[in-house]
Amino acid sequence: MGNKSTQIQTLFFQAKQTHTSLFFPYICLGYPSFEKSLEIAETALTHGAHGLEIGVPFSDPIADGPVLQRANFYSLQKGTRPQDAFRFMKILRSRGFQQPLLLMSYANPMEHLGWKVVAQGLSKVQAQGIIVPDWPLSQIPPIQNIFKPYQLKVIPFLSPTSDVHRQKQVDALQAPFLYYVSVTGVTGARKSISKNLIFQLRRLNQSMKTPIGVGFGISTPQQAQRIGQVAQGIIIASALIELIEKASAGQIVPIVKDFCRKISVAIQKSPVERI
Amino acid sequence: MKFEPNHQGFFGYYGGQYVPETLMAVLKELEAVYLKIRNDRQFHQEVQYYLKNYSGRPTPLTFAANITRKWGGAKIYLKREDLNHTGAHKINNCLGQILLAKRMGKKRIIAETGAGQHGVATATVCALFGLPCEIYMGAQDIQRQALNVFRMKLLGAQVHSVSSGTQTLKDAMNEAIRDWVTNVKTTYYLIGSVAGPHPYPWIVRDFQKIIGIETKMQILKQEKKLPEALVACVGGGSNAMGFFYPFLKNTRVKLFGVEAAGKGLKTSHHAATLSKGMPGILHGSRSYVLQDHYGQILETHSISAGLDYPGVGPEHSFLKDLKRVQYTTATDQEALDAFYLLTKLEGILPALESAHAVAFAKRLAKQYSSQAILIINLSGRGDKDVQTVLEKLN
Repeated sequence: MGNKSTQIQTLFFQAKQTHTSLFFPYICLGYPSFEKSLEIAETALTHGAHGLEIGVPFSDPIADGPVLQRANFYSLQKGTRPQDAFRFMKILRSRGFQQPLLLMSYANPMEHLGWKVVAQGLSKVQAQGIIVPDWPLSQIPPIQNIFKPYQLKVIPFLSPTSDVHRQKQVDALQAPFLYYVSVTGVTGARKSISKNLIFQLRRLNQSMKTPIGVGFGISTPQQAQRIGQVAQGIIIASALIELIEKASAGQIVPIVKDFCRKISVAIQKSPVERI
Repeated sequence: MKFEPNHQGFFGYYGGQYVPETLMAVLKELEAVYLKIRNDRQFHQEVQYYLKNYSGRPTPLTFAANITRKWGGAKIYLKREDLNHTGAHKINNCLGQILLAKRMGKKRIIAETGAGQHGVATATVCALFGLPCEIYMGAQDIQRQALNVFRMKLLGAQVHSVSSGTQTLKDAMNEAIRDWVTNVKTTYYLIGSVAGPHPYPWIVRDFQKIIGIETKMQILKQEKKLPEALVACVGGGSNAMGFFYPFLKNTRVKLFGVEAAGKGLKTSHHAATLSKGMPGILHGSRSYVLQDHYGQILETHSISAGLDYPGVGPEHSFLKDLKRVQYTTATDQEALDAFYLLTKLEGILPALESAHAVAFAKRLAKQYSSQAILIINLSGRGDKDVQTVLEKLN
């Protein structure tokens, strides 16, 4: 328990050294229900996920496309509260899952709860950190200060529009990984991966110390495999949520199992480029 | 006292840039361009040219003799923003920002709208400057402001109906931000209020401060003194901010911002963000926000679509905490009564938004002697609201 954030740090830095890639699916807390989302999380962790991004639903998710908007809305209608995330993680730990857990939320629910309360809640369940898409890079250090005694990390973002100056700022944070937004746009599956993205990831891998997790738009094993060659982490949200949305209640677990297996097998097979 | 945002875009505790990383570069670019043109005489001359020859500024300051007599207190003046081209103060900001967008070389304009006034003003300047325009509007607002939707379409804009969330202004703004984050390289987001991430609250206030500057000159000329009080309605707060700003340092001038109390502050059907909300983060900045116990944004209600918003510009939050501006409220019914009163007694149909300011001014006027001067910012005209008022009558 003493070195939670080093656990995820180690995982990603090892991935960078060994040219392997980690799979972090996104689970929408309370979607389609608290119990079901817990089952989805367990299934993912049992079948290839290296860790989870657990999303607290928010009424105004500006970085999300239609699929995640619907999931957020549905979960809120069911009465999901931000605090439920701590209970969710506690149950996962009590059932023996040791993998890294990251909380994803928009700024307002977290600030409303209070950053110290967030830190204490996450620390108690041995979570590793937090991902907040509308929290700016310049405001991360004050949160890091609150998180430090609890050995928690804030995952910074970079996007195709970020300049070198911002890359340096991110490196200075010494985060376990940076969340690279693969497209200018909102979350949601995309048909293809641009050559330019691969080029940019290669360049970032060379110029930056911080390992890279890529999210937004990855939906298929083929895409995961391609990204896995040039990044240390793959984050998949909308594609998984959409499968859950379309599945009947009884089909959800087998579908999640199948999807997670395929992705994890695909990224293991990545003939990794020597960078 | 300093009334400018700091280098990170904060007015004291409020403001900032709480947006996805993808938008940070364009905000930086916008700030840099704006800093340059802020002191560029040629740019200001261009804005002035359109304000004068296209929008019809300066707008008059009208002495409202009949309601002054009726209310029996302070002398009531109306700053006539309703007489602007397109019928509201919104055009002041749109003319400024479209010229800014042109300087930045942006090829496509998007905007959000509630009542449709900002949408119409944006569509208007896009028609004037030949730029494609797309407007995001809540599905519910599209229904209650059908006339403005038609106007926007006539002006050549594409209107997107937003059916997510509460289907009002807040969701329209979410959707506009999503468009912007997707098309950030080509698109200029023309925000209609003093809300959003820095530098928008600052830019929009600067383009709206013409209201207060003119008011000050006009009242000094007509009455040889400054007014005792100014009253303006506050939704996002751009008309109020532009009206108040040039008076902030004249501490003897009392400033009153009037929010929508809807069906009453004791109900959940209101939009009184500063009166009933608490600090939070919405649409890119920290400000007062109407939210529940878990930090989820609340649904709001107001008879006027333009005030039906759970957030407010960060500078207002700053001024509230400083106690430089007093924020108060008027209900739907009070606004309707004021709408009828001003129409009947002065022959001026106020927008239902502005009618909230008139409603509060009625209460305030009685506290002053007949020597005192009270100026109401009549931010828009009420033609767009005739349908809503008719439905209320039936």
